[in-house]
Amino acid sequence: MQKKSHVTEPQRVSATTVVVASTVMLSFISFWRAAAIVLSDLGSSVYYAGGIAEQAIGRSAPWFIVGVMLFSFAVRSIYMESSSMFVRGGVYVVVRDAMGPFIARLSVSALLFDYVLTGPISSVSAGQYLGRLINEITGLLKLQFQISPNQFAVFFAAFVTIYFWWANIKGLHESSGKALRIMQITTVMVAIFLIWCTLTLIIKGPAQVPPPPTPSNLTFSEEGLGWFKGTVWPTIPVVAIIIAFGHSLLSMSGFETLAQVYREIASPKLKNLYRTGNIVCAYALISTGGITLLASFIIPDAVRKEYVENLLGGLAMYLAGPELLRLAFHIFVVIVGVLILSGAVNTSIIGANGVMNRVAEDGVLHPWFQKPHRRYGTTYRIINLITILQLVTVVASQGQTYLLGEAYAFGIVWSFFLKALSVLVLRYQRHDQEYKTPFNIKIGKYEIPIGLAATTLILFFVAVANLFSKRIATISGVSFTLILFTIFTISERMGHAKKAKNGLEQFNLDMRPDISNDTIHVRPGSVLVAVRDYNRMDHLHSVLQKTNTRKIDIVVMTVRGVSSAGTGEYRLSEQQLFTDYERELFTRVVTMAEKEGKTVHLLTVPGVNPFDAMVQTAATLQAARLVTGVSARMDPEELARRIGQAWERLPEPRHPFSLEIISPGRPSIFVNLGPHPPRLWPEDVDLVHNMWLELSDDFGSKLHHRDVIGVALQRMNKELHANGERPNVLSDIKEELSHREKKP
Amino acid sequence: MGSAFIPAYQVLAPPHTEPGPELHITVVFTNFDDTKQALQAAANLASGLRADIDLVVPEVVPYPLPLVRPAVPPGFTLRRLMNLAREADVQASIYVYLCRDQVQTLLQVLQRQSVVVLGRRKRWFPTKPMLLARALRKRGHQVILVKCRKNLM
Repeated sequence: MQKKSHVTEPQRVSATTVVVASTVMLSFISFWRAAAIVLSDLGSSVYYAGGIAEQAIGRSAPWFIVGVMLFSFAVRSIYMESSSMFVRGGVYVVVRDAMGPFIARLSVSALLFDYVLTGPISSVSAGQYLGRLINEITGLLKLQFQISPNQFAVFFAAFVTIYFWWANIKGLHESSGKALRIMQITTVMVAIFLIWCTLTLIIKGPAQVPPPPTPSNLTFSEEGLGWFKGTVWPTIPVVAIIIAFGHSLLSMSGFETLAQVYREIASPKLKNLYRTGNIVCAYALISTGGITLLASFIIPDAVRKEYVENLLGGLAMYLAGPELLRLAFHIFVVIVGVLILSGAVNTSIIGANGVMNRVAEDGVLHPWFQKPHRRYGTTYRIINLITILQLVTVVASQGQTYLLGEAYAFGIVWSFFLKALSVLVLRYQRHDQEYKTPFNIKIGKYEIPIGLAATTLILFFVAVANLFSKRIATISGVSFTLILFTIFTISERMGHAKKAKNGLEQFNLDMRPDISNDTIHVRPGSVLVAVRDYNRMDHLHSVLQKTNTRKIDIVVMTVRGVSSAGTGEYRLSEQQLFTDYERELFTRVVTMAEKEGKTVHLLTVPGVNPFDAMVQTAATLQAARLVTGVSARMDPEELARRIGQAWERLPEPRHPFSLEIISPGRPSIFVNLGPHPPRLWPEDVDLVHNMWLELSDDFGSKLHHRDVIGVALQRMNKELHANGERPNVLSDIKEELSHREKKP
Repeated sequence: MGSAFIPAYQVLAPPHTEPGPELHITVVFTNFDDTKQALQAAANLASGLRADIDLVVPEVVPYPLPLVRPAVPPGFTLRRLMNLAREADVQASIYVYLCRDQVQTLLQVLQRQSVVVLGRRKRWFPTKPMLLARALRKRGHQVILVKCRKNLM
């Protein structure tokens, strides 16, 4: 254990106390892991998106799925721009910041609708695959037994939902490693599909080529047109394309996870988010887009209708090769599907529970919902509510993924649109975007965000088209959103809910009797950064940017000023050492560090003299460098002198380290504390070298530059202490100092 | 690089007043039933050795939730664990870690060559504690698997 060795009797009686504050940032994840986490949500749509789209818009649906996957790169850019402003910003936070709480409540309602439907669509789809596989096997075995896939899907979905309801009530969760393993297996499946499908096309040739995605090739079903049926709108080519695009958009669900993992992505954060987004979109394009397209090439049109509910199962059975091998692969595909889709059910319950708890903390949900379970401590009322809604949806769907898919797209498109609109609004409200969605034109001092505006506009058109083309989605989605919105509004008006604490970080405080490297788990040679004013932290920003935290630890300390009486007999309490000011200060520190994706260790040290406290901490931690910003009350040279004096007051042996004072817009001042080799002026180096050249004729190779300096110093020391010579030496030094000030 | 974790909450047992070598036996939480029996087994092992018992709880927070907002509030978990230690009649230091990955967290927080006690049920297939024990043994820890009976609580 890291901490236990410090809990010894002598330390417990010590009167000095430091606070080690820790938060979530002990380590970060790689972009590969982040991509796998996002894909375990986004990748599951490969199982149902193609079939649902084809039922709605006809045989050219695979091209639209590919189009949506290409469009996902634009949506990725919006998420990147949003994350570059909000390290912890989901839809709710971003929309609230841009357009206020009213629209934020609407967006979170749409998001919850999305979460609630993720469960049923995933579990019903898994049930469809499983049920149809059972029928396939019994058919091959020539058994009479056949099940109704729809009824089986309802039964299976209810079973999976109840299973995960119970797991969530108990609060038991699997490690993220399991989701990663599922993604690895899924990747194996995708790779086999791509290779085997290519071989099949070479051997057998395509059964047919799906018609290109032109308006004339769109054959909308009755449900696919909704309220547009019988109107002039679907005959307008652009409108027809938008309607078709809207029916394919559900293949892009799961992007919200990208914003959620951003906080934990390692440095360089934005670059790694960019990589994560690219991996996710490329993977989705290849798997969801590619496999759906291959299915339309390989499964003959005449029978493809039988496979709309289990497209990948059908594809597996129409590959070239022995039937037994195809069946084995079909079983593998179904197992992977059951795993990934069931995982999505669990994620939907967890995600919806998390969002509702988050809005409750913000004061828009009555605390009644948050009552913890008597035995397990989970927010069982929210979990029950989500599960009931999911079970009702499963039963109402009668096991048809098509109905669920249509409704599902409602939540996805509206939450995407509101997020995109917020990012667009923020483009004019804020100027701290470290990443901007591409295609921006500058006219004079104005910037026109063509790319961002175009993406937002497309999402808006699709959202509006969906409103009219998906009757069930609109009725259920609008009803659900309005009910939730009403609950949120009433809760807020009742004023029962507690308000959030201004977004301040919750720190875990660990009171320690003294400081050591083990106490805060830092390696010797760290960088110690002293902070006090949260409006002056350029020096911390500079350290975060320059330091490779894999090799060097960063410790951020603040000195809590106490009177000399405060350090005596009685130990200072946690409240005295870690006040709201320190909480605010460290929250800013954590936010800066998170943005850089670097780990920092936080420390509050009580001290009568802040310089002594800084130097003692640096010495105790065996830091290589102490970094401070400039003080409003003293110039950097004076600051360096005071810190130097504090170092001289340290008991022997004194740990040497360097001091760096960073002022914004100016070069840093470096001072080595304690005995250290001097950094000579260039002309002095020349002088030493010339003297050495002159003297080396007499002494040969034994003479070094250091010997020349040594003799010069001894002579100066002698003169300094000789009678009558001291004023001359001091006058020379004075002249040297004035000369130095003129040097560049 | 690896899974993020946060040392979240801890309850420390009183330290030994007599000087002597510091020996720690670490019980890793699996579930309440089995952990209670594992704690009792660890207490038997520790008697006479003057060893301290540490109960380590890697609490997995699934990805849709922020790491600082687990499904069960850590304070609630801590109270349940303190009751568990009391019921088992064991004076243990309790460490709850909020994490994404149980094994990764344990590998980071356990000292080298720790003595680890894990409760497990007899099953014909490899269970979670058995897989965990295998991972810990690979890293040089000494793992004792305690066979647990059902419904002891």
